[in-house]
Parts: sequence; structure tokens; C-alpha cells
Amino acid sequence: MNGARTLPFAIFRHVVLAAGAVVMIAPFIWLLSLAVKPADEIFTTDIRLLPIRWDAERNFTEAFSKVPLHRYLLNGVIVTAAIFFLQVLVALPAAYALAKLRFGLSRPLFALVLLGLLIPGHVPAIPHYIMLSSAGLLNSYAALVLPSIISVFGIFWIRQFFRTVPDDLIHAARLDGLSEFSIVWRIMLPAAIPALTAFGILSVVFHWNEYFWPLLVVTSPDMATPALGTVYLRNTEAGTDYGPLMAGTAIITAPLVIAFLLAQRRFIEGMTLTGLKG
Amino acid sequence: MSGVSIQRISKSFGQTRVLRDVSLEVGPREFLTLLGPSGCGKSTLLRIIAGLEQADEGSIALGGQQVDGLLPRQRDVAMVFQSYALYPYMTVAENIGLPLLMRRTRAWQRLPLIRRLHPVARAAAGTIATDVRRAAEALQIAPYLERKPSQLSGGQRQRVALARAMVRNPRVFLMDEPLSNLDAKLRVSARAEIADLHRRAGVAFIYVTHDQAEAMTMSDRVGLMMDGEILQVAPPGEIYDEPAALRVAEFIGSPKINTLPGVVRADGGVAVPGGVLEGGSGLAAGTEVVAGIRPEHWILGMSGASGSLGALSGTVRHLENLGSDLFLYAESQGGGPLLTVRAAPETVRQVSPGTAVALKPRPGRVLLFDRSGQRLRARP
Repeated sequence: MNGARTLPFAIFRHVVLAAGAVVMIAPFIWLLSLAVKPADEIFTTDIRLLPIRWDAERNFTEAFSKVPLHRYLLNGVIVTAAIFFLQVLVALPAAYALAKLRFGLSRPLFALVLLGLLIPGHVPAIPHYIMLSSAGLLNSYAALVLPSIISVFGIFWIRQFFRTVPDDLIHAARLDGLSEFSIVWRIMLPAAIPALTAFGILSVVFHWNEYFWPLLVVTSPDMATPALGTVYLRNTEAGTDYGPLMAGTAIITAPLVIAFLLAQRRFIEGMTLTGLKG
Repeated sequence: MSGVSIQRISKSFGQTRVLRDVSLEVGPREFLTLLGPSGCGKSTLLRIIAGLEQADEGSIALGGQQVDGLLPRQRDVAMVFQSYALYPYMTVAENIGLPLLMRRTRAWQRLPLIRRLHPVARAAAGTIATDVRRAAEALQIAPYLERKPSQLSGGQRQRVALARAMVRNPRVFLMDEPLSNLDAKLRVSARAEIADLHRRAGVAFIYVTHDQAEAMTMSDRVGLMMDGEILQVAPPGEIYDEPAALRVAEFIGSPKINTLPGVVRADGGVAVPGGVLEGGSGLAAGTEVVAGIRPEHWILGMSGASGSLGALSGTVRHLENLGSDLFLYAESQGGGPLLTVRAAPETVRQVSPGTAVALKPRPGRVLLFDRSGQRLRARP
């Protein structure tokens, strides 16, 4: 490598990356720009990022008063946290059994897990809907959470991670008097923290942004998740009022962006881990 | 009565038979080493005793109690692993205390809040801390109790593993090559520590290794395993001097024992290529044998005069001076592989490659085996 060759290449590389970044980020910039503009400035012919007259306060209060935005955010936190917690509760013992226990149905069961990975999430939507409907659970947290608590991806992902835990560690635990469930929670859970972090990021991002399933099972705004909430916001009379609409959207997007900025490294680690192995 | 009784254990993995009909008795306070090359089934046998593997056939009793159907945690055995198998996310104190915690408290007493508040749980935590400290002090790791295993050296980790095993006073200690991840110097001092631990614990130890130095230095008895069978169980001196089979004689001893094919003569001598050795009296003339002579059991003669009775003549090909010992590699006139001879280091002044030597076994030191490798006992 010499400087003469690498410098032009480095410039080229950064120009390409910058162009890509601009394309990706432009809608968000525009969203933020609209969120702080008064209505009469939004539909002008000239393009300007910063408003002449700042109207952020009205847009944001409007967004919160038209629809219960805080309720959507709270719902989002409850639903994503419950889903992740229950996913771990199911996936950890299942992954341990598939990775470390020898039993007759081990291989066929793992094949089923792999098969589950191949089925698109939308396929079981109708059966799930019918089941929840006949159980009288539609339009509740249960309806939002229950269909997602078994994550075949989570089971597969943690199982692959557990395969790297040495058998001797489990043997030592058995001799030290731990039951199989104690082994899962006392020995395997702490060892799986990196894998769980990656999985948690994927799970939370996916379910925070999930739109399809809440749209099916939620009928009252009380139960709406953030992604669904933006739609309610658009359907109210604020729908034609783009300032508050963009302000509301910005608020709903904010938690994930803030989380990303706070835990940027873990985020990237998690994403690349899955990219390589998943 | 807290020994180990192993009755006719067999075990196969798929088509491979790793243990064939193994029986073994270990005394209540005995230190028994299972010695053998890798893949001979010694670790599998240890895991079966611990309950981590299930035997296909046979049964095991610990302290007179059949344990075949019992889970590992019900057997009251402790095991030290080659990899140490310390819990990486726990401190040293938590690692050592875990077996006590699991035994002295009930599941609900270990729940996060109750653990701190309930009087019984708190009392248990107190006695556990005392016992952990006592074990740590015995192994000189008390200063590291709050560290994580990753912050310790190999030797310190190995002591933590020993402490975790001894803290709950098991009725049997099982050790699976606990020293093989240590460097050579540390291994020697750790041998003394384990022997000391055995004296203090006063229970049966079963120690698995492929290192004959460990087996010879620490054990009351050595069980030599090959191909899933125990070939001989005997005290270290006896297994060295009186091996029951050629494979035992060849495995134990470094450098390896010299072997020469031969035939017993009517006068009790054993005709080998290049000469006649003594020691075949009592065996039928014409018996085909393999004669084994350990490197230190040669009497080295400088004459080189061939034909002297009971001696082989040869030529030195190669010398290895270790300072404490001198090893000669001599080519016999009868051909065959080079003969290894241990001689006093001073001999180096008299020999060099090319020197003619006469090699005579010490009286009574020729070990004879039949052609299938079984020991033949000559009667004087």
C-alpha cells in the first residue's frame, strides 16, 4: 500500500459512502425540517431546511393533543419489553436443550426450528387471528404479544451460541448440584449475554416498528403501538396538517434513534454478528 | 468404607467400543491413577463414575452404595477438569461456594430478594463464606476471592478448581488431567499439592492422566489402560519392575524398554539376534519369546570382546548427555533397532560414536513375554 494509491481511493470511498448516507438520511432531515415549520411554509416552492418562522412548539403540542402519543409510546415499551422477556424465557431453555442435551427427538426438533425460519411471519397471521379471536383476546396486549413469544430465530441464534460453550462447564455444574433449569439460568444465561444483546436489539427494533400485526388485532387507539399510532395521527384532522404529523412521527422514531446513539457499538456488533451467522 | 467399586463396565459410542468389561476396586483412602494413551477410555470411565455418561453394562458402587441410576449431583463426587471449567461470570468466591449454595439452601431461598432477607438463607450464606475462605486459604488463593477467573493465571485457576472440589468434602475425588494445561515447572509443584490434598481429604482419589511421571509420583496404585481395557493395576514400583504385559512395559518407562525377539534354549538361555541372554530357566526349550530389558538394566562393558557369555556386542551410534544421565544408542551385531542404554555421565569420556561395547543385562532383569505379549515368569 502506498499513499499515492490509497488517498484517491479513500476519497472515492468516502464520496460514495457520503452519497449513500445522504440518500438514507434525507427523508429524516426533511421530516425534522417539516416538524419545526409552520403550515404556510411547508407548501412553498423553494426548498429550505430551516424555517423562517419556528413553529416547533405548536407542532409538537398539537401532535400530543390530537392523539395520545404518550400512550402509543408506553404501549410500544410494554409490548416490546414483554415480547423480548417472553422470547428469552422460551428460547433459552429450548436452545439449551437443542444444543447440549442428547435425546431422541433432538434432531427432528431442530429441523422443525430451521423449517420455522423459512416460513414468513405473515403466513400464520390468519390462524393466529382466529385463535385470539375465539379466545376473546383481540384488541389487548395479549393479542400483540402472544404470537411473537416463540421466536424460532431466537432459538436458533442462541442455540448456535450455546454450542460454543464447553461441555465441561455443564458437567461441572451438574456435579456441583445444579438442576438442568438452574444450569440454564445460572450458567448459560450469563454466558449468553452477548448473543442476547444482539437478539434483543433485533427483536426490539422489529416489534417497535411492526405495523402489520397491530393493524390486524388492534381496533381501539388505546392499544395502538407506535407504528400504528402514526397512522391514527394521519387519520385525524391533523392528517392534512403536516407539521404536527411530522412532529409525531419524529417522536415515535426518536426512542430507537436515541437508543442507537447511546449503544452504537453494541448495536453494530449485534447487527454484524447476525449478518455473519444468521 | 467409602471406596469405589467398578463392576464389569462396558461402553460404546456408536460402533466404537471404548470400554470393555472394566472392573476395578479403589480403596477408601486410596490414590489410584488411570494411566493410558489418549483415546484409551480412561476419561470416559471417569465420566461414568461421575454419572455424566451412562454405561451400557455394568454397575458402580460408591462407599458401598449402588449409584447406577443416580444423577451426578446425587452421587456426592467432585471432579476437577482439564479445562478447570470455572464459571466465567462468577467471582472466585462464587465459584467455590456454588456447590455449597446448591446443597445448603432450597431453590426459593436462592431467589434474589429472599437471599438477602430471609434468616435461614442469610445464615447459610454466612457458613458458606466461612467454608469458602477456609478452602481458599488452604490453597493460598484467599487474596483472589473477589476476582473473576479470567483475571487469574493458569496455576491459580487450577487451585480454584481444586478448592471448588474440596470445599464440600465429597466421598470421591475425580481428576481428569488437571495438570496438563500447566507449564512443566508448575506441574511439578502442583503434583505435590494434589498429593497433599489427598492426605488431608482422606477419601478416594481417581486421577486420570497420560503422563506417567504424574502417575508414578502421586499414586498408591496405577491402573494402566489401553484400548478400553485395564491391563494391570499395581503400585508404581511394581508396575515398572513387574509389568504384566509387553504393552505395559513399553508404555511405562522413558526412554522405552528395549525389546528383542528370542527363543528359549535348553540350558535356560534366551537366544536373541547377536547373542544369548540369561533368564529363561524354567521355560520349555524352543519357546518363542520377546525379551525386554530397560535402558538402566544394562551393564556396559568396554572390551567389545564379542562372544562373552550373556552379553551382546555392538557399536555406539549416538549419545545423549542429559547431565544427570547419559543415554547410549548402540547397534547390536545381530541387527534390529538401536538398543538404548542408560549409563553414568562419566562414561562419556570413554565412549563416542563408533566405540565398540559389550552389553550385558543385570541378573534377573530380563523380562520375558510370549509372542502375544503376555508376561512369562521364569522359575529359577
